[in-house]
Amino acid sequence: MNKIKKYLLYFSLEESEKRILSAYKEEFAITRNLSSEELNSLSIEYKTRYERKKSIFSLFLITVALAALTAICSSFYAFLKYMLPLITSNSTHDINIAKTMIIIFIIVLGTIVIAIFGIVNAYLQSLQFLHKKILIIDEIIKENKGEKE
Amino acid sequence: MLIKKIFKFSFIEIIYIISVVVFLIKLNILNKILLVLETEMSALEVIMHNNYKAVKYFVLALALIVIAGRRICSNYKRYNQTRYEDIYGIICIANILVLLILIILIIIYITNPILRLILTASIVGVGAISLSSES
Repeated sequence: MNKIKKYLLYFSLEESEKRILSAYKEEFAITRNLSSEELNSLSIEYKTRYERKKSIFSLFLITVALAALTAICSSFYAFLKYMLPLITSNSTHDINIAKTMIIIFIIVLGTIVIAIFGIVNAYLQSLQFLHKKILIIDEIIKENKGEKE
Repeated sequence: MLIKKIFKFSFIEIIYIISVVVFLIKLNILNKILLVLETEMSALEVIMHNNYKAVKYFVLALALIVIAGRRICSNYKRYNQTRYEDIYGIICIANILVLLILIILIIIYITNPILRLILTASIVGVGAISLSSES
């Protein structure tokens, strides 16, 4: 019974906050063991990487993704316009062909759309990961400065 | 004890491997039927055969590839968390390799003839649209 309860609670907000806290503690403990030189070099490395990724994301990735999505929508509209006479025809063969073509187009375009969203999501996640690392390092650097003073 | 550890650590991967193996066996049978039908019918008719079975398999293959991609990402994350220590790091690498091999196998099996047929049909569709928009 307890095991079932544990599995059910896994997706609750409280449990997810607990997991985030334990991951933070673990990461914090590992980073704390680094020397001040290592911390500074890591901070600079992550910050430059973060800025570079952020500019690539805002300048390049979003533009390409929006252009691709617009092209997909317009091509689907053109395709449906072409298919309209086939869909409204009396022949069962024509209707079947139109149905198959629409299914194939939806699958192909859907795959492209999912791939675009997947790439954007993965990029955003990597940005979030880098930002988290930067914040932890900054916190430790601040803490070390406070101890020295 | 070690087997229990592996089983507990990569439970999702084991279920995934079993389902992919079953899927590949069924896909292989369907591929043989479709290759025979391809000589007698057009690409669209082959896709329509048996209530769009080829399309259903294609969608399932895509879903399996996406799941494998997600699992590779999570295994890579776990590998980084283990700090390259103990048996878990090795299990993560083994999981990633197996998942990559399965992705390649799915792509190989789905390409001939299902993906080829779907691409043929879409190229015909795109060609027809561009012709109609020109005229």
